[in-house]
Amino acid sequence: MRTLYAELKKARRRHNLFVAVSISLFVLLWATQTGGTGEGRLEQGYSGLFYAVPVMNTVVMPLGTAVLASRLWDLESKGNSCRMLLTLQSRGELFLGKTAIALLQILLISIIESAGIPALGKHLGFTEPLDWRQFWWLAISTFAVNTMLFFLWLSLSIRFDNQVPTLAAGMVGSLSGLFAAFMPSLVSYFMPWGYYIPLSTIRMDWNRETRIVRYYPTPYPVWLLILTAAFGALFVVLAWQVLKHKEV
Amino acid sequence: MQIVETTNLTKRYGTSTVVSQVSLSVPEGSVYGFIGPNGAGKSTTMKMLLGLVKPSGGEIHLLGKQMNERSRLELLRQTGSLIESPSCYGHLTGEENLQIAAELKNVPKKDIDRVLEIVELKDSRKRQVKQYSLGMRQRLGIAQALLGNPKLLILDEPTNGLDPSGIQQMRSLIRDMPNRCGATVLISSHLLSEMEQMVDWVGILNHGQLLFQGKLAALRQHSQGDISLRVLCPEKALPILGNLAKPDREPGVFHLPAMREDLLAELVRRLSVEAGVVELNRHTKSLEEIFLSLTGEESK
Repeated sequence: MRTLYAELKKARRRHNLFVAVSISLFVLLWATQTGGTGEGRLEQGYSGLFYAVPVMNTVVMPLGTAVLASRLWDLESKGNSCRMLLTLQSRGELFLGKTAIALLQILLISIIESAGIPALGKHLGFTEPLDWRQFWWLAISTFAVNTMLFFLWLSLSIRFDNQVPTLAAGMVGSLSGLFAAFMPSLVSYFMPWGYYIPLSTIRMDWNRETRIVRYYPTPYPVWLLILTAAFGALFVVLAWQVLKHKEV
Repeated sequence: MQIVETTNLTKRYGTSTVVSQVSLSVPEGSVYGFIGPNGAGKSTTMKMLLGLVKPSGGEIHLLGKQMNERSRLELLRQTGSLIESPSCYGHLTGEENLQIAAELKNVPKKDIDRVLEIVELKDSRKRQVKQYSLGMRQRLGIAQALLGNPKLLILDEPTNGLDPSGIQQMRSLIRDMPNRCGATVLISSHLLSEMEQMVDWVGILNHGQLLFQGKLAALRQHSQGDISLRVLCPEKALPILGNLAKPDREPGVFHLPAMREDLLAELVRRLSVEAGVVELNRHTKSLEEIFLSLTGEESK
C-alpha cells in the first residue's frame, strides 16, 4: 500500500489520467468516423465499430502505450530518484508499484473504449443488436495487447534514461502494425504490436461494384490471445530483469 | 561503537578493481570525511554501503548489524543518504517530495515540519521543486535524508555545484548534525579545504585503496611540516645548526625539518644563547598538502 501511495503521489500534476482518457477517446471517435456512422450503417453499426476500433488501436496504441510507459519511468530518470527509492524500498516493490499504476491506466483505456461502444450506439441510434460476446472479446483483447506492449516499452524506458528510444520504438510499432494489417495474416502474427487486428473477430467485405460494406464475424482466435498473454508475461519478466540489473 | 564497519570491501567491474579491500571504521557521533580525488572509488563505496551496488567481496556492518539482502531495508530505514545529486521530483512541491519519502520510510508526516525547519525550507515548502535553486534542492535532499531521525547520514559530495554561500550553509548544517540530530555523518568530497572545516575523522581513498584512516588531529600530527627559525646572528647559528637546517633566501631565516619536541627545545635553548632567536614557526601542512603527500601526487 505504501508503494501504491507513493506512486499515486508521484502522479500528481503529471496528467497521466488525462493522457489515458484522451488516447481512448481519440481511438473511439476516430473509429466512429470510419466504421460506425453514415447512411445505411445503423443496422450494422456495432459490427462497424468492432471492426474499426482494433484498426485504430493498431495505429494509436503502440505509440500511446509507449507514451504511458515513458511518462511512468521518465519522472524517475529526471528526478534521479532511483538512488533514493532503492534505499527505502526493494526493486521488487518499486516494480510492483509501477505495474499497479500501469495496469490501472491500461484498464481505464480498455473500459472507456469498450463502454464507449454501447454508449455511442445508443447515441447514434444503431439498430443492430449489441453482441456482448464481441464486446467482451474486444475489451479483453485490447487490454491484453496494451499490457503486452506497455511492458515491452517499459523495459526500454528503464534501460535508457533518455525516453526517445521508447517513443521512437512506439512510433515504428504503430506504423509496422498497420502495414502488417495489409499483409498476409501469417505476417501479422510476427508483429505483436499489430495484434489488435488479427485478434479482432469482425471482418469487412467491401463490394467494389455496389460499394456496399458488409461486416461478418469470424471465430475467436483464442490461441492468439494466449500467445499475447505469453508475450505479455515475457515482457513483464524482461522489464523486471532490466530494473533488477539497473545500476543506479 | 562503530556505526559503519567494512571488512575488505571490494568492487570489481570486469578486470578493473574500483574499490580494493577497504576496511572503513566510522565511530558513532563523528563527522567522518571520506576524501579522495574524482574516480577514487568514494561514490562506489558509498553505494555499496547503501546496497545500491553489490560488492564483489568483503563485508558491511551498519549500526552494528551485518548488512545483507534481508537486513538491508531495515538498516537503511535508520539511515539517510544523499548520493551525488538530490533525488526529487520537479513537478511536485518540496513538501510533497518529503511526503513520498516519509511514507516509504514509514515516518509520521509531522516529521516533515521538523526537517524543513532544520534545512530552512519551511517558507518554500509549497513551491514546486523545479523552481528551487540548486542549493535549495540540495537542502531538500538533506531534509529527505533526515526524515525519521536517522542514526547515520551518508552524504556523497553534498556541496557539488553550490555557490560559496550555499557551501557555507551546507557546511554548518552538516557540522551541527551530531549535536543537533544525534546522527553520525559519513561525508565524501574532493574539496579538502571544505572537509577540513567539517570533519573530525578522515579516511583517504585513492585508486580504490584506503591510504589513511583516523582522527583529523592524528593525521596532522603524522604530517607535521617544517619549522622556520629567524635569528639575530646567522653566522653564530650556523655551527649549531650544522647540516640540519637549510638557509632561506631571507637573511637570518633557516628551515628545520620536523623533529621531536625535546630535541627542538634543546636546539632553541642553545640558539637563544648564542645567536638570539627572534621568531620560531611550525608550518602545519594543510589537508591538501597531506593528501598530496599521501597519494604521492606532490611531485607531479
